Amino acid sequence: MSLIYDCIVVGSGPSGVQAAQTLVEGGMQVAMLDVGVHQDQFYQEQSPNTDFTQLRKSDQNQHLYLLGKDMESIHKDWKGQHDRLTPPLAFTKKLVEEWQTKSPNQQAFMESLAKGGLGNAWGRGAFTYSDKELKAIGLSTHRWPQFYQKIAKRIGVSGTKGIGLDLDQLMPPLLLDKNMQCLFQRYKRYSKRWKKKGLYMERTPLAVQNQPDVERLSEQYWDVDFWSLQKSAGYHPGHTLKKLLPQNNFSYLPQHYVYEFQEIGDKVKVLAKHVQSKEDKVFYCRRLVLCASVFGTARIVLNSLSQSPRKIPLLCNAFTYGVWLNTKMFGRQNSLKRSSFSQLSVYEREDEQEHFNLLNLYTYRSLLLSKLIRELPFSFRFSYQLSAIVKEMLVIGGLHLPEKAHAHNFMQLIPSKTSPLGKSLDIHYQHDAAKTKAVLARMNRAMFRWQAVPVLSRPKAIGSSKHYAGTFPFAEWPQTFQLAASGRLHFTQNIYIGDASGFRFLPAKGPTLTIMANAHRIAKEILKSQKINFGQPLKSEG
Amino acid sequence: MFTPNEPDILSRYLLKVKIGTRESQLYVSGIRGGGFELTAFEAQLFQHMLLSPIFCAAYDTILSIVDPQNQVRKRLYLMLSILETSPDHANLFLGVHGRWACIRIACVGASKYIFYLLLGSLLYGLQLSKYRLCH
Ligand SMILES: Cc1cc2nc3c(=O)[nH]c(=O)nc-3n(C[C@H](O)[C@H](O)[C@H](O)COP(=O)(O)OP(=O)(O)OC[C@H]3O[C@@H](n4cnc5c(N)ncnc54)[C@H](O)[C@@H]3O)c2cc1C
Repeated sequence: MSLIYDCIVVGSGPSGVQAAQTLVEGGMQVAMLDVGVHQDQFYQEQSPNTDFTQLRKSDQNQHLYLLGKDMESIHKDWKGQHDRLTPPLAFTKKLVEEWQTKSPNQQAFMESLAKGGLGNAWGRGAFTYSDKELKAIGLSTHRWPQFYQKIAKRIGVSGTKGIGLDLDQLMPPLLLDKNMQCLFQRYKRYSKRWKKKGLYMERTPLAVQNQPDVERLSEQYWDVDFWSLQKSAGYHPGHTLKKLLPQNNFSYLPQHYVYEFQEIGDKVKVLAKHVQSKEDKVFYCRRLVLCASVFGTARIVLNSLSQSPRKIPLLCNAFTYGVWLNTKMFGRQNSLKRSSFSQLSVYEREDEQEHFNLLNLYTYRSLLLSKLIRELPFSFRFSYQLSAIVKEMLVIGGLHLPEKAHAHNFMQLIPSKTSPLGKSLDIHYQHDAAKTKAVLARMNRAMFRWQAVPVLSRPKAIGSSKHYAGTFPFAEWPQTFQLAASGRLHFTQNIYIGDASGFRFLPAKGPTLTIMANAHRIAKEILKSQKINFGQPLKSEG
Repeated sequence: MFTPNEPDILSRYLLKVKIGTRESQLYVSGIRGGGFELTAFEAQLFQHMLLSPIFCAAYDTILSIVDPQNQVRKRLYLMLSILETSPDHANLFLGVHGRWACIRIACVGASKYIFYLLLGSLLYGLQLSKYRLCH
């Protein structure tokens, strides 16, 4: 005998928790099905809880979290696996290889089966999309400022109004360190000229608490944000989940790997496997909201609705990593108060559609020097000496390019012997390398004018941007494997998709704030579409 | 393969510091954890390298050019990372301040680099021919 929930949300990432919160606030009986791998007790206890420079001088156990309890980061660095996950955050990827099998050459496409999903590790870059960008995605711009504002209130956003963030009632931006102040001043001196050329430099909008708050720590400038989940002022989905758990109309059901749904009359049957016992479990609901990330959701939908392998589109930003030396900082000491997050963003207008290329700039101390030394082509001793000299001059940047759908970028679910579910994702993706090179060259020229000399750039493997979308695009007219504006999968009655699967276009700006606002919007659509009485006591299915 | 004076020699080469038991133990447990196995040629190079920090510098310099992924360098990377996360040596990784100090370190470092490159090429060439003769 199973209970019938008003709504089942699959996944506890940023989209899942925001959809669930709106549904719970609307009075629905909500269950969240999730694999929900959580952080090891060991790393929770070892979390650094003081300023990075202080702990480097005093903490005898720092190697446990900086290198990993089994020195795992040494092996990862040596193989060149820069997945941007520090040892304490590596749980974000746990179990994925076992359950979410995909083409072996596409391992840079990152997925998560963790409580909080990839939202445990995100850089907190919280951007809003312009009306033109929302339209290109396939969303009507109607009421979007309200959706954004709602999420900003829930998660806390700091920054200044501009191209990257068009919101009122923000928390003030985080402090800029000396290195970034120099760059920003150089830009501002001739900002009119740069703007004419289509280049804009702004403070990076961040989902980081920058004011005292009862529930969350405000930014301490300890620069340990990527080493400690508990002591960071940055938002992660665990914050929302913590608020939802005590609610009577919410149940969190971890350890469940959802693989199929079936619509039976006005109900949805959801099939899942228990991750430990591998037993099959069945759940019933009136509405199913898939927030299992672009890949997780694609697996569930294709497995449920497609008999033979079917190609679906995929979007992923091209990502290049670069290092510059700010010559103004030569021999000088940078501010000790620093955060690990991006401090400045450079936007380059790409076309008349107002699509921007985006360079996010960082100067964090907590990037261990040995990681940089490893990248240099000299002996370790000489590389160490050079790195120690340039440490305070370093500007690290991540360049993202916007992405439109192309016929050669797709994925399909194909039979596989290695997967516990017998199917695996086959991903085909290419980027326009010439375009990336051209944009990088322009960014390098601009950075040079701001007295930052380019020293290194590495186009990262396809999929490394960790921004994915576009598998079941929004469509105005009903078409199979596409979404209605309400987020409902066409030709289904009660299946909704709340993650980025519907986005027809992927701007270079981080998508997560929009993913959360869209999940909230879809949850509101579900609440609105009700003929049945939600919030009634749960009924049983014999 | 593991030699007891290995952590000591490597850290003397890398940072010119003497290490304590904490760093030594971490290095040993890192190596025992696996993933640092040497091939016959790598073992031969490594043995020669451990004779002195000068040889370490010479071999590391030439390997960084001809074979940067060599397992010998992975051991050096392990030692360097352990030193960086040791409170006793943290100061050495927190950056150099002062323009003249930076210029001096860069100039001395660069001239030593050239010297070790020449020495390394010679030693590496000799070791390679010795290995080829024996195998
Ligand atoms: C290092 C890093 C930095 C990033 N920085 C930024 C940034 O600065 N700005 C930005 O906008 N974005 C950033 N991102 C991207 C951001 O993390 C994602 O856009 C966001 O997490 C997507 O949210 P989601 O809810 O769609 O999916 P996810 O966060 O991936 O969550 C998926 C959830 O679904 C669950 N799940 C999956 N499959 C199943 C299944 N079959 N059954 C049950 N449960 C399932 C998982 O357990 C998980 O809880 C970054 C990502 C990474 C990794």
